[in-house]
Amino acid sequence: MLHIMTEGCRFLYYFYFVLMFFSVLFSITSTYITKILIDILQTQDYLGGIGIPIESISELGTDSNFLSVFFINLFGGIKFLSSNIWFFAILIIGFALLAAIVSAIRFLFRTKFMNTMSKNLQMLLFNHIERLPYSTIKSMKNGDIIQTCTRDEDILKRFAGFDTSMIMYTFFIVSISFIFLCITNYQIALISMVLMPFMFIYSFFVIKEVRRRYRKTDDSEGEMTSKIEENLASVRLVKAFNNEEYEIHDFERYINDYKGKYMRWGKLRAFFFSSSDILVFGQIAITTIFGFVLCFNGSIGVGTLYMSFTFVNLMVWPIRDVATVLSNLARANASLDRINLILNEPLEDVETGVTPSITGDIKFENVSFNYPDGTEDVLKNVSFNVKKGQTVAIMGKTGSGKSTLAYLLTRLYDATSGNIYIDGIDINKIQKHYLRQHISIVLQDPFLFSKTIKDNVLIANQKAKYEDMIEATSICQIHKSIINFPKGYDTAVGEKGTTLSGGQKQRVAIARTLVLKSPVLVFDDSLSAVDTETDFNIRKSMKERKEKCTTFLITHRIATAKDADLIIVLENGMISQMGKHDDLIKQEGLYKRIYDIQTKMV
Amino acid sequence: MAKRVFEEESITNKINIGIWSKAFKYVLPKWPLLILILFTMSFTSFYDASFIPSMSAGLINAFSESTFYPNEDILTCILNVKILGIQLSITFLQYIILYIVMIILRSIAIFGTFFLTNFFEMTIMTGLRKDAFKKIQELSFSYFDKTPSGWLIARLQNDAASIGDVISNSVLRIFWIVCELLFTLITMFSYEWRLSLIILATTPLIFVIVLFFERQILKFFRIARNAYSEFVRWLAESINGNKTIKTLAIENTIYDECDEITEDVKKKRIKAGYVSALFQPSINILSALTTALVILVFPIIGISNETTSMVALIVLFIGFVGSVYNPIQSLAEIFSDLMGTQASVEKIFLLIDKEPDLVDTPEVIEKYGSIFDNKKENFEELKGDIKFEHVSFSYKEDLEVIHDLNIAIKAGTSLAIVGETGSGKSTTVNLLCRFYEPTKGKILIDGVDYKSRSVGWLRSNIGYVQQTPFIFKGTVKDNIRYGKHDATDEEIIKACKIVDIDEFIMSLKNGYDTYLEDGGNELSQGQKQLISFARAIIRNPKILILDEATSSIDTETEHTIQSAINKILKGRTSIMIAHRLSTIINCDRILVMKDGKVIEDGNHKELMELKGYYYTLYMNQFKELDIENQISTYETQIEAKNIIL
Repeated sequence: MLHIMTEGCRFLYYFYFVLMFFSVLFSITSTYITKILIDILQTQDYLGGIGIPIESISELGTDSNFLSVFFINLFGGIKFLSSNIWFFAILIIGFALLAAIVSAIRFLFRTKFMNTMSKNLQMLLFNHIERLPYSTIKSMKNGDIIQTCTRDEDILKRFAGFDTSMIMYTFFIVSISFIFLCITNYQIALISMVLMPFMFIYSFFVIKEVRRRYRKTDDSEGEMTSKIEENLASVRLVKAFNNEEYEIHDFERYINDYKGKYMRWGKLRAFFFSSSDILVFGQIAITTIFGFVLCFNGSIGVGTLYMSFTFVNLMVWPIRDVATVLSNLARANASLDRINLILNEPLEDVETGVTPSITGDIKFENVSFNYPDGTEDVLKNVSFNVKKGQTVAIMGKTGSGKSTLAYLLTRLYDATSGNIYIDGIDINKIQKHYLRQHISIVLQDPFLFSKTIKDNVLIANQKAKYEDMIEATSICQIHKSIINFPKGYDTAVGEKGTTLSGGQKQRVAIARTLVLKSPVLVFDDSLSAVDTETDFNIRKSMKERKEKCTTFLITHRIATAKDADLIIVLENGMISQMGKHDDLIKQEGLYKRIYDIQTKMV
Repeated sequence: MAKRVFEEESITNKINIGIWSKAFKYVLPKWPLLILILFTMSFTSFYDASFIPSMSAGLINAFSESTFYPNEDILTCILNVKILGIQLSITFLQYIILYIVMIILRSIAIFGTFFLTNFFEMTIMTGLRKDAFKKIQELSFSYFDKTPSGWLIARLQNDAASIGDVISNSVLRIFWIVCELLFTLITMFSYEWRLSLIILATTPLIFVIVLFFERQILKFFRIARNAYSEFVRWLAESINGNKTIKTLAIENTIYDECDEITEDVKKKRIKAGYVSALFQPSINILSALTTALVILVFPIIGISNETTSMVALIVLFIGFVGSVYNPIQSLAEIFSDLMGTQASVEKIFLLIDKEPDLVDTPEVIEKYGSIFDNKKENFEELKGDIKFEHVSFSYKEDLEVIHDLNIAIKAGTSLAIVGETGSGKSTTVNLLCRFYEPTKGKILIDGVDYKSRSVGWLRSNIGYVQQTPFIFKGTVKDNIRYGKHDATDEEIIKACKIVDIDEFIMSLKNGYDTYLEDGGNELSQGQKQLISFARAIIRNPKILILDEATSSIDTETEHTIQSAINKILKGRTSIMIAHRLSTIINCDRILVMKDGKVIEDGNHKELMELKGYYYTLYMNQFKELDIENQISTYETQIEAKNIIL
């Protein structure tokens, strides 16, 4: 996963840690130089009688080691340094500058790689989700998918960026400080570290419990939110039943539960900080006190004493925080699992297959279908033939398999048995993408994107000419309404003030499909949202259109079905009647009954 | 995981003290705790800014003192520690004890600080949520027409939480920081005033840098967050529209969009990140410069004073640079937190301070109580005569939806109102329930203007069933008891038997105690509606309102519903609005409305014979239904009465 995420920023990512090493090294060196300065100030040159002889600093001895000798010689020797204290100012600022510049560069790198990772992951996830088979997406909750693409992505990015760098930072700071201290005096080095393991273990375990309590708080807050949502959704009932006071009491119940859990969390959190502070400040105190003893014995100099408690101050805080970071690991893991759950779903193959020219002859041969989670066949042995340019009407009750027929035709699902042929070619051999470009469905509930009307109409065919768009919207009887909007075709769907009605949305959705000029068109009950008259006009203009196409009309209106070349009546997944209007009204059956209801009553 | 609502953020430039103090009022009643936290904060500041540096300096100082004899017993050797300018001479043993005691005290202080911070955060957050929730219960319908529920949820969720957070963690921290600064300054000056002045001299520069960066960071991060919200919105849309995307075969177009929009987010975030990446290093450079300045000045100003050695001073002042800079940086952060949250405070008080536009007069409240506190003992019995007198109504100005409506309904009769969408039939019911009040004219109940009695009086006598049955999270029993909180189990069962749902409920796993999850998805629409019926009649209301209560019923339950309706109408004044006309043909009287006026009035038979608007409505209804509904409607009607055709 890290490999995919860091694509395009891998060098930055690894080089970031190298830079981190150097920035830590530089700031530690800067402290070390201060130590040398203090050592010099503690000599006889500055303190008179009670000081140590200046030469002792530049030679290996009780408190001097090869590191300080190395630095002293590097910066001009002890004589030069002790008479030119100002030079330390230059050194300190020099190293601090180096550390700052390196830090600036590494922060820039981090910003860059973290956001690149974020984008990579977003793209990877979205691209995968978008190409999953329809049945897979339907089986997942949209809310969960969105959570994975946002929250889990964010957690993983933070882990790879912040958390990892926090761990490395702690590692560098502790190990470099420890090395510097060891070189100087191993006793003070050990003293400076003595409480750290306890601090780490303690924090690690307590933080886990803090987290657990926090999750409870979070869940309780979620409950409270759903209470608010429920209240808002039932506002009519609340008022009609005069239950305002009851609702307030009920809400207080949630609030109090939340409050209780929150304070439980807060108490432990406060306890954690205060108790671990004892360890943190204890470590600082131990270093100070034992450092003093060592100094008193002459094992170390004042410079080393200063250095040790400066380093301890640098080390203790990250050590405590790194425990928090490590407890993030479980969270990051859970996020990674959720991401992989999506990425492991096999993709739908829309690329392979033949791409023959499609004119619109369609043949269903003994087609049966059963939804993956269903027990009973939704379609049973459906067979029929349609010639190109013909219109087929499909009628049937809810659940009779009408829409499924349309889904099979575009291979949103594949038939369980039987075959469907287009122009004599089995549709399973045709490239799905190509197939869907040539068989267009207008779905029952129109889905428009939050773009302008123009962009919506042209979304699937961006090369369409302006005239094509006007032609399509005119056929759908929506052109005139659109140009009456203040912004015309540039009106954004969903924009305040110019909300489209359900019927208008449906007409835009039909126009969007018409500009494709596909050889096969399927209206999945999509004309029912428009009134009878518009329904008629749309069908009439489509007949008059130059481009003839095979049309499927799934409908419950006799008026819509009646002019079709073929009417198919579906009952319980089987074709119960098939034929032309004039024949069907003569037969006893569902079609005639509906016809009677709809026509005799007018 | 609690949901968060995304919305576009706006930017504020001025701190509005007035609005913040409104929010701060929530913690004022806890003033003793406020004083306590101020105390714990000052103690912590004292420890960090004065105690620790002074203690370390005392140790280092010892080695430079000519009076200090290294050969003595270590525990009894004297250390000179200067805390806040006070010179203490203590033995090393006392030093250790002092150190330990202070660590423990600080730890206690930190516990207090953290715990109280959380406590205040909680107090503010829940206070705001409670008040906002209460206000939502109080507000009238016109408010909900204009306000999306997402907006309200965002106020209670996000705003209340971030205000609690900012006040307890930022506003209170200002005090902490000021304390820290003060203690640092006092300690600094007590050691060496000239060096202190050098450090102070650089602070204006740090102020400028910090303010500059905080402003930029605030601005760019906001841009980045808005871009991200846009991405989330887009993502949700693309996932919801997945079927459309597939059937249009536009995956590639959408993929390009994804690339574009994530690239936009990335660029804006990187820009924001770059600004903040330079922030900390700039501060570090400045603090290194100041440190260098201090070291440079040392030899010039004459090194040590009587009490403190040069080494100790160097160590101290290197530390002071940080102690002065960090609080300034934190102050700037707090400042931008305040800026960032001010919009939230403004918005939540917009809600809390909102006055409901439908309230009873003080006299009415005096007699009958408010909606939260009904004085039931003063309620007159309601008989059920309803009269609309010259009622007109408009939701918006100049857009009247009811024109001069006059209706008289006798107690105990049933009335149906039919008409197309926008005819005013729902508004009529809204007026009767007093969800809205007439803009002109009067509505009389039992001959008295309903405004002269309380909202609670009216509504406690109304049984209301809405179009989409609503199931609350809870047991079946809880759901029915929602109509009458003190109902006994027997009453509940009786109500359920009347609407014929008792048998079904008993067939559930836990009977009446079966827990229904959100929305009661395990029930059919018809079963849910029957539960709503039971909920309405358990109140034994004098007026029953069925607001399109049969529109969303599946055909299976149509028969049951119909007979349930026939039973519950008995002995009550009932008003029904119906989309499916089959359900109302039994009503005593049918009003046909069009464009806010009654155009036909009579029973089904009379209206059919009239061959007018009702007749056309009745005949056309079938086409719009799906096939199964057409058939069943047709059948119920033939069955119900042989009056068709």
